[in-house]
Amino acid sequence: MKNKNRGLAAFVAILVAPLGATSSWAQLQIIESNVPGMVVGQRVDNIDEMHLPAGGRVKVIVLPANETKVFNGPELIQGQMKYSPFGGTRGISIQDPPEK
Amino acid sequence: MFAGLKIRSRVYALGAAIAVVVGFLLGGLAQGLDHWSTDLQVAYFSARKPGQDPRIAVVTVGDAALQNHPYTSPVDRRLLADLIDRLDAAGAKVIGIDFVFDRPTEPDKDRKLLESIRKAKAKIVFSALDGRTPLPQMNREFQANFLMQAARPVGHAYFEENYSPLVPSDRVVRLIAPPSPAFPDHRSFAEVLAAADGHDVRPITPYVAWLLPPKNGSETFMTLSAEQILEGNNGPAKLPLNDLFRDKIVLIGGDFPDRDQHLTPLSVTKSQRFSGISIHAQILSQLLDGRSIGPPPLPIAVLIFAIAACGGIWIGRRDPLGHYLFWIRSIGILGLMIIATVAFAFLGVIFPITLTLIFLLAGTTFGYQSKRFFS
Repeated sequence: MKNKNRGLAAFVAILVAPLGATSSWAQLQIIESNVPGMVVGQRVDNIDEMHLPAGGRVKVIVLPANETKVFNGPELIQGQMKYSPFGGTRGISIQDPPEK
Repeated sequence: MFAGLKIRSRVYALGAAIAVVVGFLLGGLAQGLDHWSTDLQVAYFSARKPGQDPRIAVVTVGDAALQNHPYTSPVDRRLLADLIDRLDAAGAKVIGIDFVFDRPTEPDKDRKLLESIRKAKAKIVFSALDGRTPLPQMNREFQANFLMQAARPVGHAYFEENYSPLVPSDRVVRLIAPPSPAFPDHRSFAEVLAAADGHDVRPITPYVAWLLPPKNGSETFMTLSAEQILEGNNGPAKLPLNDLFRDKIVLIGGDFPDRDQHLTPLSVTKSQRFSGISIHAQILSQLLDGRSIGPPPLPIAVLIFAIAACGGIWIGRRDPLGHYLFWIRSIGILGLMIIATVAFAFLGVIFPITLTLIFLLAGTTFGYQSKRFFS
């Protein structure tokens, strides 16, 4: 009976192993970066979050899924002014002026 | 005499009510009234896929790709030709080009672009301007001549923004533009792209059914820049172009900070602007999926308004002193917001929340007054 259970456990482990391995095989290939130390072309292990400095932006291709993903650090410019120059300096919001 | 006056007053009141409703509908205000709630629903409850849309890729041409070129508009046509060559060699099945070709540039570059288009194995589709843009005759003729030489399908480049003759437009892209009345066969760029891919479909409603970024955190569509494509496997990013673009519909368009950037309902919290090419990709994805969002059919809408008005009259007649008016309004607004959110999230229906509320409150007021004066 004990052996039967062990056999079943081994069978389940063989079935489940590829599922776990998929995420560890997945890698991120950096294709754009303004963060020192994160070099374009470099591959890193797949992660859901990247802790970047303020204004940092790293774009990657998730391999082997071939999907693009962007990681952003905290915003340097807060509020709506970061989407200037639509209307340039004239089209400012009085609720969100550029100089505070 | 007084009875006659009463009837005449009622007729006047009914006429005034009909005039207000018709004015609302004709003025486009009825549609505009619901943007405040619909945009929020779209931004938070639109469809979301588990991963990136595997059928569509976007290639953007921006300032970085053109940094060594003396001009950025029109976009250098040799660069466009090289992009088409690369994407075609990588196995793209359809290539959509979202640039305006309304004036000549250097003759050899113009020729090279036409050569690349002609020899491409991929199906090529153009977007183009029509009579809705007041182009000088010379530019109009150049565009027509260029597209004729390219001999590939063409869709119009437009999106529909909210327009009302009574208030300034908020310039938010919410709708797929119909063909121009002068060119009724000129379908939208996304429709022609879908047709080139074998999906001859029309939008079910004119509303753009936006996709939210996928659950796995990737971008909605694979998006790469022109310089990355041109560097390919030789650049620092070492892109495997064949793996990335094989059998995909690839849309090439501009992504410049100072042009062709649009507000959409997805801009609702951050006022983020979206490039025209990314909006075309959204419409294309919606067409390929057969997704749609839109208001309820007119008979259903009329039924909703009638129920709201009758419900309002019923409530108003039971509260002739108006003690509970505050609560009726508050609960009415809250209830309608919940109904509208559920209707959008599960059925893709844009519930006419503001008009329903107007009918509810008008009914309440009528019921309240009728109890006071007619009983």
